[in-house]
Amino acid sequence: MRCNDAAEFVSALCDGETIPPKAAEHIGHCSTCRVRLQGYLELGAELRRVSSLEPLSEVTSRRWMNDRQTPGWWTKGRESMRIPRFAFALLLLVIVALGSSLVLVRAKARTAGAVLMLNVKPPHGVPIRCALSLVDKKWGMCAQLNPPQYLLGIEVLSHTEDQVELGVREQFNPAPLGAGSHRASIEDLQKIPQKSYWFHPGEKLAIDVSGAGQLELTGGLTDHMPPLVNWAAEDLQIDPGPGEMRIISPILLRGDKVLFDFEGASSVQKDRRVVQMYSPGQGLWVLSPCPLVGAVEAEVALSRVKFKLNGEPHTFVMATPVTREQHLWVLHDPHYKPSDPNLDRPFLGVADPERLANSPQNR
Amino acid sequence: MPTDRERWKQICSGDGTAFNEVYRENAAGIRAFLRHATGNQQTAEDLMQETFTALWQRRNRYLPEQGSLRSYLYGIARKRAADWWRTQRPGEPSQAEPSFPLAEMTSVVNDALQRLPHEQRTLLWLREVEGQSYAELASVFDIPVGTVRSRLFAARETLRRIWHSPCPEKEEV
Repeated sequence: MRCNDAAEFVSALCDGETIPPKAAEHIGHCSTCRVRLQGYLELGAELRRVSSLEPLSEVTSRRWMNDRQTPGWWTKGRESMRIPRFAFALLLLVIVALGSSLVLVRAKARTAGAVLMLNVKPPHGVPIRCALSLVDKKWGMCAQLNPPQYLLGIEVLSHTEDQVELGVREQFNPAPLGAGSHRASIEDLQKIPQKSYWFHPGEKLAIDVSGAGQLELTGGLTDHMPPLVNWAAEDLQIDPGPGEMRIISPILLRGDKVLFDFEGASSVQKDRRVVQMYSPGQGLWVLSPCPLVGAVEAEVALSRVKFKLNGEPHTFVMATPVTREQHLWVLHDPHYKPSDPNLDRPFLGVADPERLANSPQNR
Repeated sequence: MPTDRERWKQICSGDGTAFNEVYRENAAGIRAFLRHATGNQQTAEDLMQETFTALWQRRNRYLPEQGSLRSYLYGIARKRAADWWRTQRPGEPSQAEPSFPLAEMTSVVNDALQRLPHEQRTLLWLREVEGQSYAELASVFDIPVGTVRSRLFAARETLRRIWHSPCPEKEEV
């Protein structure tokens, strides 16, 4: 090794560093390198001596205020955090429990929902369906007043997890009412004593009707009030069935003026039954899938029923398509008024054409 | 004695008292280093204050695992000095007063040191006077340890040549 090659290691020796054996061996025998080493050491010593002569002035005292730096949200978001193992395990359990409860809530809504769908088979007349809310008393009752031979009212009184207490008012009138002499009202129904029964969803409840046979109630719970009680929710499709006339939330327009707006819904099959609507001041309106005496023919376009009355265009606008037929018949009695002033309020319901509200026997 | 990591944890949480300890321990050394680096006492004082202020304001930037706090501080100070040198016009003598105003200090070695290039001067001064290790110097100058060794050798050789030359060489400062 030559002196020039060893020179850098001489410098490293000054700094207390170890050097390669060949360099160490050369420096040990080379007087030039040892002179260089001595020179470096003297330089260092001289530098330290001179710096020691510098005046030792005090550094300016400063006060560093306690300053809790608030990291930005981005910085916080990127930071990691430590949590105890048991806390992590608890977190997992909570997530699993929450996920499970969602499933339970959904399942519960279907099995123990807030609406009781009842299939009612009276001893007289046609079967009906009732949707009774368990939580909203406004929708917690249904009644059948027509035909008046058998009056029926069913009301939710209370409920538990798996059964519903029903208040039933029913009365069979063996003697047919005199033609046109009487039309039953809610007030008539209220006069009948109410009996309480516990109904178990999924099971049949049979109630003996004096002199007429049995009233049979079947059905179950569902999680919502269906738009049409005559359909199970899963059966309700936007396309009306064959022969069906479906009236949901009808609005009647004369020209561009709204005559009335109903919230109710009803449906009939092409079985000689009709839907009638009464609005105070607007008279009685009847929609029929079959021709009626005095009725005008109307054109059906999906959810609209258009017809002319006294030369003026009228349109029923429904929430869903009305029927598969192309035509319906509309009967209007502008002078109709319920005989009982207490009943002078809007109604919408199914009727037998022979027993329309405006028929003489019902006036 | 708390480690750099423990102390820095306190500082990062905004503990002014902990930072004041760091200031008191290092301020004099940093100022002396800057005085040699700039040749100006007032500039050194200003840059020292700037160095600590920068450290306090951006304390999240220091990572203890990447080196000692002292070398990090000297790294900031060195960059401040380099920035200061960039603002000085080439060839124009700095407005600095002599860094060693006392007669005793106007030694030959001091004169020779002032003739070294800026980086060699600061490197040699940190090694010989501050006693910083190769690793610390590598951190301060942001260079590999092997480069520290070769640059220290170059600085010593230059200083030795100047010191022993009969006439002062015109070395770049």
